[in-house]
Order: sequence, then C-alpha cells, then structure tokens
Amino acid sequence: MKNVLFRIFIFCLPVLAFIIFMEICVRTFPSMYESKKEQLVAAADSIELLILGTSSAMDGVDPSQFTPYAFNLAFAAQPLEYDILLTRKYLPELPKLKYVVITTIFSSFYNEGTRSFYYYHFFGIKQPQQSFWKEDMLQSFFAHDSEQMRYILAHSFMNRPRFELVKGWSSFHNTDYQSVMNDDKARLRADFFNGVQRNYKGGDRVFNDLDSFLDFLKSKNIMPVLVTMPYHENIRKYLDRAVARKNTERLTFLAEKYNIAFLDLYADTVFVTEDFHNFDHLNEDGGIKLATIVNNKIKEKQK
Amino acid sequence: MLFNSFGYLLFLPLVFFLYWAIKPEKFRMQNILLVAASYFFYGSWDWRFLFLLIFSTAINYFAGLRIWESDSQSKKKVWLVSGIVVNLGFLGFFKYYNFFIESFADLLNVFGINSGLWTLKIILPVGISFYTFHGLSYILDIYNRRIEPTRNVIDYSLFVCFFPLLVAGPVERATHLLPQLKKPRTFLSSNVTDGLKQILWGLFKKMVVADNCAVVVDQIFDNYSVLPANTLLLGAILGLIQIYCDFSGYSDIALGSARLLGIELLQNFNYPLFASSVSDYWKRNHISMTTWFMDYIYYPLTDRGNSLRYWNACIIITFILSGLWHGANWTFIVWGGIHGLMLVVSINSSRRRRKFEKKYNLTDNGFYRFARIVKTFMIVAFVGILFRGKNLTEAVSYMSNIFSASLFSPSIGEFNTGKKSVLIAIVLSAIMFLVEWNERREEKRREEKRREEKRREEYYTIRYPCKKKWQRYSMYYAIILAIILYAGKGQQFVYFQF
Repeated sequence: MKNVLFRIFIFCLPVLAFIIFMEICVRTFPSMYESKKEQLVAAADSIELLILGTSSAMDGVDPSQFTPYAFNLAFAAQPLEYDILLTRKYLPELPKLKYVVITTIFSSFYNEGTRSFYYYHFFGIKQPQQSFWKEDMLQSFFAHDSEQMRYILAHSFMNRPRFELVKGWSSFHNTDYQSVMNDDKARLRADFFNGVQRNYKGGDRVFNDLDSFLDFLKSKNIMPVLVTMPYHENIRKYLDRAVARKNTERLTFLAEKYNIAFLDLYADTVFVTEDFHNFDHLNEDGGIKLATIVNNKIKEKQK
Repeated sequence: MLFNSFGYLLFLPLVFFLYWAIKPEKFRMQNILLVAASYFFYGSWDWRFLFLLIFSTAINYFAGLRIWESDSQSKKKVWLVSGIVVNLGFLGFFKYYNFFIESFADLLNVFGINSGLWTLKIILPVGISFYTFHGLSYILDIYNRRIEPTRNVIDYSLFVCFFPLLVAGPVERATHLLPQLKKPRTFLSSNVTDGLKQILWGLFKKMVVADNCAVVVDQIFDNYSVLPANTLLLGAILGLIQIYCDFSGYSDIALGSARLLGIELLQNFNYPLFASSVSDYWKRNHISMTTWFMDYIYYPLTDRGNSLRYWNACIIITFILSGLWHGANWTFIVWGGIHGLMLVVSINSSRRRRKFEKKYNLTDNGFYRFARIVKTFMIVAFVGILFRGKNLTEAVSYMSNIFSASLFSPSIGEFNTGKKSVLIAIVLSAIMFLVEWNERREEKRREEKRREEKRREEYYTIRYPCKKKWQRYSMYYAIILAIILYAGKGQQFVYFQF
C-alpha cells in the first residue's frame, strides 16, 4: 500500500505544481476592480460625484463630462446591492461627495450578485451569511470558471491586459455593427434579460433596498440621481415591455417620493446606432452624450 | 455530495485510508465504516431522506427473511406482495403522485369536468429509483430462490446504500454484490490504479464533455422555435453525447470508486454510441437497468404467452415502463414506447438483414458497418429529443422543425455563449469518440484473446489507447489539464432527477 501511495504522490506532483502556478497567475493578474479601487482611494478627497451601475454604466458614462469631480465606480454585472454596499463602505473616505448617479438596466430589480467574491477580495465587502474560505484557499478553482482561467493563463505573460482608466472610466471606440444589426443576437440577448427577470425569486427586495438607500443618501445631504440606461431599438422590441414599464413606474415613484432627478433614457431616441457599442452598451461617443445629459439635468435640478 | 465536487475529492481519499487501515480479516468493520460513510454521503443532500432510506432497507431486509422462512407458498407471496407494495408505494408517491394526478385532471378536463384535484409540493429523494430497484430485486430473487437472504443487517444495508451506486446506480443485483460484501477484500495495487484511471475518464466525460455540451444543448432546446434546422439537429446529436457522457461518466466514477475499495460493480455501459442497431444499443446502454427490466418484467411477462406478437407486445410494455422509470412525464413514456417499437423491428428484421449482408458480402465490410453505426446513432439521437423536451408538444415541434430547408444551411444559429462554445463542445466530443473508439477496438481484441486462451472474463476498465508508458502518462496529464481548464459550469448529473 505504501508503494502505491508513494506512486500516486509522485504522479500528483506535476499537477500540484501546475495548480500552484495557476494560483500565482490568478493572484498577480491585473484586475479592473483593483485598478478602480486604487484610483478611487487616490482621488477620494476630490470626488464629488459617484457613478454606480453595471457594465452599461461602466462603459457608458464618461465622468469627465460632469462639472463636479466625478468617478465611475460601476462594474460588470454589479447588482444594486453592491452599488449600495460600495457607497456605504467608501462614504467616510469621500468628504466632498455631493451626488450619486444610480444607473439601472432592464434587469436591475431582478438581479442577484454573482460576483460576490470580487467585492470581498478587492473591497473587503462580505455579507454576514457569506463564506469564501474555498475561494481564499484556491482562487483558480473556486473564484473563476475554466473559461476565465484559460484567459488568465493565456494572457499572464503575453498581451497582459492594461486598464487605462480615466476617473474609473474607459470605453469602446466603435460600434459593433455585426452585433447591433443581427436580429438573432438581439433576440437571444433579450431572452437572457427576460429570463433574469422571469427567474428572479426575490420579490421587491432590490426595490426596497434602493428605497432605503435613497433615504440614507438624503439624510447625508447627498443628491441621488436616477438614470435608466439606453437600449438599442433592435433589442427593445424583444424585451418585455411590461417589465420596462414597471421599472419606469418604480423609479418615477422613488424620484417623486424623494424629490430627486430621474432620467428615463431606456428608449430615448437621442441615442442613435453610432452611440452604441452593442445592444445594451454605449461606446465612447454615447458615454459622453449620456454624461452630458445627466450633468445638465443635475444643473437644472440645482436651479 | 456530487462526484465532481470538492467535497467528494476529500471524502473518497478519507474513506479509502480509513477503510484500508482496517485489516481485511475484519471486513465486517470495513462494512460498518462503509455504511456510515454512505449514510453521511447521502445525508449531505438532505438528512431527512436518510430515514426513508433506512426504512426502505429495513422493510426489504425483514421481507427477505420472512419470504425465505415462511413455510407455505401463500405466506411467501403475501410477504413478497407486501414488500413490492411498500417499495412501489414510496416510489409512486414521491415520483409519480403529481404526474398521475395532473394527467387524470387533464383527462377529466377533456370531458369538461373540473376535478380540482390536489397536487403536492413533493421533493424527489435523490436515488429513490435506484435503491428501490435494489430492494425489489433482492426480495424477488429470494422469492425465486436465486439467493438466500443475508442475516447480517450491515451487509444488507451496505448492499442498498453503498455510496458509489446509491444515487444513480449501476442498479446492482444481490447475486453479484452481496457475496463480495460477505468476504474479505484484498488490497491490490492494480485495483487502485485501474480505479483511479476509470475515475479520471469518468470525470473527463462528465466535467469536460457533458458539461460543455450541456451549455450548447440547453440553449438550443430553450430556443428551438427560432433556430435553423441544422442547429436543431446539432442539438439532438450533442444532446445524446451529453446524456451518454453525463451518465456513463457517473458510472465510471462509481465503478472506479468501488474498485478502490476492492469491490466490483456491474458494467453499465459498453460503448453504446457505437452500436450497430437499436437492439445492439440496448445491449450496451445502461446495461444494469436494461437487464433489470428484462429479468424482472420482460421474462416473467413472456412466461404467460407463446406467440411472437405477444412477445413483441411484452418488449414494448417493458420499454414503456422503463421510460416511466426515467421520469414522471409523457415524454419519457413515449420515448420508451418508441424504443420498444424500434427494438421489435430491429429484432424481427435481424434474420432478413443477416441474409442480405451474406448475399452482398457485407459482414466484413468496414464502410457498411460504420454506416450502420451512424444510422443507429442518428436514430437514437433523434428519438432522444423526447428525453430532453420539457413536454410532448415541445418535443414533437422540435422534431418537426428539423425537417425544413434550413437543415442544409451552411451556417448555424446564434448562441448567447458564442459559436466558440459550440466548437469547443464538438472538439471535446470528438476527442471522447476517438478514445472510446480505440478503446472499443482494443477491448474486442482482448476479448478474442481471452476466448482463445479460455480465460475468464476480466472486469471492465478503461485502459487508454497508448502502448508506451510515456504516451500513457502524457494522456493522463492531458486529461487532468482538460478537466482543470475545460470543465464546464458545474452541473448536476442528469440521472439524479430519476
């Protein structure tokens, strides 16, 4: 038996070595979360406006267009829950914060966090019921799926990604016409969003959280601004209209309740195909346009 | 605890060390350890269902003893019927109650009667179909005097709850497994290496091939109404590969895990995707379940009639029941019925086919044999749409959509995960096919050699198609690398729902 165990051990050594190699690659790989966090901490004393939301806001709201000093703290698939937790965590370090732009997408009220580990790992945010001991121990297996691991390994030594962020923002420079004009892709993407809403079991939890968050911001004399992000007309025709209408109604209700600005840009025709990168993400031009609109709205509200 | 989970990666070596730390002469102690480990393994899903498992074990254990000890045939029959009723009662309640109630309500609705029948929120206990069949085969074998009941409750409990086979088989027979549990098992290094090799191949099939196919197949079945026919056909093909790799992967891990402990389980798959006819397919696919249905349903049924027509009907009935066993849905029943019908056609036409093959000298024609394999694969994949469809309407609609002009379109439909995911699924499936094709050829050669040397049949194991040591080791490492870097999103085993 000892002999067999020894042979198994020897056999496993290269596998263990590879796993250690993967762990090193994962833990030293550049991350958007890390880059934004560093920029946020460095600019904390100057930040007057925070932009929150999912990848739609991450790519689609240019902070440089705002009159106050703005910072884009949106991340891919970031649920409202983490918008709230991030703001609450960094609020004591942002002495000049006066505005928080809360962007929502079609599925914002029906979205649960799927990337909780990143918020724990990079920002130290952890809910009481969460445990990340497996992810802490072996990130390459438990914090990333195999597709991400392949990407990390392939780009660890060559073409390492670099995040050239300006105030937490960078965006696409083009319109992906092959994507935006493809009806099948539009339907599939819409199915995904409709599915998120259909499969959500959390009731009004996200809405209630947002309600309390707005109350909290008002109590701190911070002005919240609500924005629904634009969707290209090619996808809108497949998205559940009742859901979009309900989203607008809920945000209108909150805007009236707290007397705050609300910009419903979901189907705004000011955004043309050239402003989009794909169905639900603006490109650089779109990001500038949207930020300008929101900035004007804030100015108008202040008058 | 799933076989492809981190928990099992810790659980199996721990059980292995504790098990072999006990001297083989104290095999009863080893059995107690395995029962405790198996209950822990099962309880990690839902500890409440442990009571059901223990109750089912106790019922069959005592029914077995009573059947054996009863002095009159009528008493034996009473105990047997009681055992069957309790076993099928549990299975019927947990698995089929809602299905029958809903189907009955639908039938009443046809006649304009609003029945208002109640359905219940019932959680299906994992593995209930499998351990119920273990228990049934045990009491039926005792009744038919094929085996003597075991008087040791630990041995019997282990036969029912042995963790590698508890959740999704293979459906073991008391005649095969119990004798192994009643004698010491010796530690053989060949058992350990063969077991590990088989677990490795099972993990590759499940985590790499099946789970990557599942990503594509799920999308195709969810969007079948708008996708072109060629993509639907691809969905049917990858769907069959997914089900095969999922379940045979599970069986490989089960067989390998048991072998680490010196216990041989029944072979469950014998390269069914390379079957040359539907009857050949059922000799190779889910063998333990097919033979169970044959032994306990088909053969007893055929004893009651003598005509070919009656025997054919028995095949169809057996397969309808096997379909129902798979799941409480009309799709499974129709799937089973069609397979039964195809089997009848396949068996009844075999003599004519052989004549035809002899006349045109096709028996040894490689191309002809390959064409038959492809034909069988395509038929099984097409009928398999019923297995995957959510309901009959959807499955039939999927099937009919395949017969449209877009079947010959040069490009496939769009996927949320991108066409790269389709390519990955196809390439990984092709690798699995290559390895198993070669393995099957080697297996054939070994079988012929065994027959020539009149040696007894060896146990089934995967040997990997490499002659040189360095090639073999490269392959092991390549498979481990593939599992690490190409594992699909961890999905539950398909057969857990049965």
